[in-house]
Amino acid sequence: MDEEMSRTVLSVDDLHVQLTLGGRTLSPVDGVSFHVAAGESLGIVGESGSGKSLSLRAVLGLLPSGGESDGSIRFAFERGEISGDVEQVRGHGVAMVFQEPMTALNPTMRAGDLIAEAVRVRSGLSRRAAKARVIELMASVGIPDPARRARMWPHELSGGLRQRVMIAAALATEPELLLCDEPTTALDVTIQDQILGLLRRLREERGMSMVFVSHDLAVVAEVCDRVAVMYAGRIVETGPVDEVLRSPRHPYTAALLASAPSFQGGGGALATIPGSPPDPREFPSGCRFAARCAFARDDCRQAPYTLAGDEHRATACIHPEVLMEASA
Amino acid sequence: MSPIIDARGLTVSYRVGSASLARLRRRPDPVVHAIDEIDLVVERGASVGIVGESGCGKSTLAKALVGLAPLSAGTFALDGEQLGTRRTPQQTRRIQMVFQDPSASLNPSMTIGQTLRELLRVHDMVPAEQVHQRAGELLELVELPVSLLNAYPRRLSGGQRQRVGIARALALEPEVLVADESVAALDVSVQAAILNLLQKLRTELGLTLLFISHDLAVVRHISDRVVVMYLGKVVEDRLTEDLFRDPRHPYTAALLASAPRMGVERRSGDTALGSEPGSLHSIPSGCRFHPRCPIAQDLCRETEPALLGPTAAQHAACHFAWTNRPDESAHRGGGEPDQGRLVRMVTR
Amino acid sequence: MSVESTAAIAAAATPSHAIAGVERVRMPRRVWVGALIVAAYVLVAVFAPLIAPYDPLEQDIVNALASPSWAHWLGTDELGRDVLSRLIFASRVDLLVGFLGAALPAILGTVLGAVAGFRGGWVDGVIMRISDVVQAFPTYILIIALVFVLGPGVTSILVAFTLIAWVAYARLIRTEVLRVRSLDYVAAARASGLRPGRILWRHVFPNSVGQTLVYLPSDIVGATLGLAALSFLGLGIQAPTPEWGAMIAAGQPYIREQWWLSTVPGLVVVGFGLGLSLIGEGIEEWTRK
Repeated sequence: MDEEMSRTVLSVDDLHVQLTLGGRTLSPVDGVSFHVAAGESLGIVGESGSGKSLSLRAVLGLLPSGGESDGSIRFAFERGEISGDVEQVRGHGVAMVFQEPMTALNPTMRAGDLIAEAVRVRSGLSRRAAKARVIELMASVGIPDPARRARMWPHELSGGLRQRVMIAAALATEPELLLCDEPTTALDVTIQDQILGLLRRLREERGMSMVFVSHDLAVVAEVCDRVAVMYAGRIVETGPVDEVLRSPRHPYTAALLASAPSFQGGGGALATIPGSPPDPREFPSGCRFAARCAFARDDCRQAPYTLAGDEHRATACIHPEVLMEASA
Repeated sequence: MSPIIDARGLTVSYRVGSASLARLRRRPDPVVHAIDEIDLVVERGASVGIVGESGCGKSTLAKALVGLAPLSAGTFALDGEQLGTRRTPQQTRRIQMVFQDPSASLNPSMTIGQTLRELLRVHDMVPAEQVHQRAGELLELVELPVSLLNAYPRRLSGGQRQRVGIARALALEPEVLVADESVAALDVSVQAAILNLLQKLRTELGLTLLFISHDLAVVRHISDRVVVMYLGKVVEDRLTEDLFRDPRHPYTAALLASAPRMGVERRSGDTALGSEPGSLHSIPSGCRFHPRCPIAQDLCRETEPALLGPTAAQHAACHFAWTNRPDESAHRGGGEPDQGRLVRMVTR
Repeated sequence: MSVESTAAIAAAATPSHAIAGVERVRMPRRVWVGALIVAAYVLVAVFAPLIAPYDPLEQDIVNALASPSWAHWLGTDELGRDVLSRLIFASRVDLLVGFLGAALPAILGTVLGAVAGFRGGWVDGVIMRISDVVQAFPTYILIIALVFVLGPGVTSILVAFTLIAWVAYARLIRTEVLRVRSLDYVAAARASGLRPGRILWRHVFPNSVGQTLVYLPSDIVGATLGLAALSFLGLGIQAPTPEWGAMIAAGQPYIREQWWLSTVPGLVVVGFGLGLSLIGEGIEEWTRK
């Protein structure tokens, strides 16, 4: 098991994404590195425009038109190592679950056919055998009455069931690594709860690795072992989810946590972050959060970006001690 | 003093198919009730949160109150004055709405100033020569620079647009502000700023706030009282503190349990509610929640529970809300939240 | 996600502090190029009597079918009339029919479509059924039949165009109005007690006409070509009034020797169409921003 854990399924190093929008070139992802061990679940958290979704999409080469990525992306599967060619891993080791199950499912294909398509990509089973496998998969993701649901169109299914269909289609390829792009954001809390429970169960049963992108720290806390917090195209902090939430080492993480209304109550004004994220056309030098940071010092504006720390815990803040002093 | 909002038996129905076709097939008229005989009484200056899953009718209730959805039945009095769907400008002004999606709720071909000035002129809020100045004041009220008057909505960030949405509602100097998922589309840090602004305006202007949201943490933060809706009905209506500490309706308990929370360890398969939400097209008999309810009894399948409670501020529509639960192990003890118990019950 | 995230990035790319004063998205350059071309045609039409070297109707049988020379830059036609002068004068009737032939149906269609979409109910039903009937017939046959009944001439051509071409505009604008009507800012306008007429005019209409503006320039070309086709069939502008389409038709018997008689008016029409399509494409690009 220890040996197995030490294998790094996905290594992303110095990933850059360039996006050309209306003649302007932006760098919404600017030097992102992360690693996912076998069986591990990594959460990537950030606000809109932080580059979290683009980072995830770049892993499978699924950038929007006008987008280009640069950097090293390596996969290490049971069948061997793969780097460079994403075509080789799509549907063969890696699968992805998207946010909006209504637009991510082809509306002209029945739910069962959508999953069958994925089954046949992987296994080359006969139509008949594939059909049996589809029903089995649908049952395994908790779709009640799978045989009947397999004949339904996406628009006839509820949001939760659509998301389950998408997960079943992803599982059909027997992935070692599942990439999730805000898979529960469009769902109601009770359904979100079900989907998160399902993902936890599947991961346990299949030993799958997972990268889970979300804007919601609490959701990430429920399904991930480790978390990477992104701000303005860079990872500013990584570490085990519990530790990062309990004692953040980057002022942005701390500010993000403080601005979320607490479930435990407690009145008064919420903490806010002054200003707005920097313009991706002209990122400031030094720490990109410095302009909004309550603890910023002069040297913050010159400090080059490095994620200081070890595999376990790292922060891009050059003065992480200020947070400890502030909380003390 | 009479309550500012006194709504009785509010019902909004939609026809979902051909009536003549249904008659041919000897079926009842194809009508669904998006909200079904809702009573809502709110004191002036209160902040009431309305929560529930999509399809529970919370947005329809908001629309009905501001006159955007026609009532099929029921009465709505604002400060003693009866309001219908057709309202005079004076009546319209008294209850205003802040919409959900700040990118869709502003006219893209009008500047912020044009949007605000139009309302001020049409409603004669200030003398003509002061319209321009008043529009600027409104922006200051929502903590935006006056220079934005000349900007088009697409140039604004989501948070700024939502502030404009609030300014537009405030332009008519309403007594009641209905916020329909007004922070749902915003990032956490922006959401915090908007919530703070709403709190500030509420105290400064003495507004009554109806805050519709699916996010329990947000509702807990901003409301003194919470109304929980399920399939067009109110299932629980309590003071915020009480409801979060000790939910009395199993649905409320399940909602609380399913909200993701930091620092709460979950086991692999744990889920608060196993099944899909019911549909308005096929309302279950008896208690509408019974097919999903972990403690449902025969009684629940047959009789619809009334919204009752020991005091005026404590209401729940469950046969077992105020008595011992039929399940002996579910007997509540202490003031601790017992969502854990419900979770356990569902999973095993 | 891609749409949302690119929108988010675009939003982040225009931070709040950068905003000051009125800002509109700039029109693409090709709109101005197109506008320059169209403006040149308009100027020629307006100042035709000053520019044209000859009377376009003056015949000179002896000099018929002359090749281009210093006296007649584009030669003469079968009746010895100066081709250049005829082209210049023809722009008057062609531009008139082009612009009005597109604008009148656009106005009628937009009004009917907007009312149908906004009011719904029986009003919508009646307007859309009429448009179904009109659309059920082949366009040109209907136009020819109408012009035949009304008698040839500019007025009957415009009437015929208007009665038939409004349908496309009505459908276009109705779809857009239905879309816009369901948006939150229209709900917001209703919630703030604005009258339906004002909501339609200020909040729904301006956000629905974008597609019409894209469609309009290509329709001007269409109307000009329609006029040419009618003239070719003898139902359009009657001889001897110069008209591009009639000139193309009249030059056809001589296409082997005097090829310019048909080709040059053809190129003139193409140039006009090019200018308009540059405008149309540019506007389309602009509305997408």
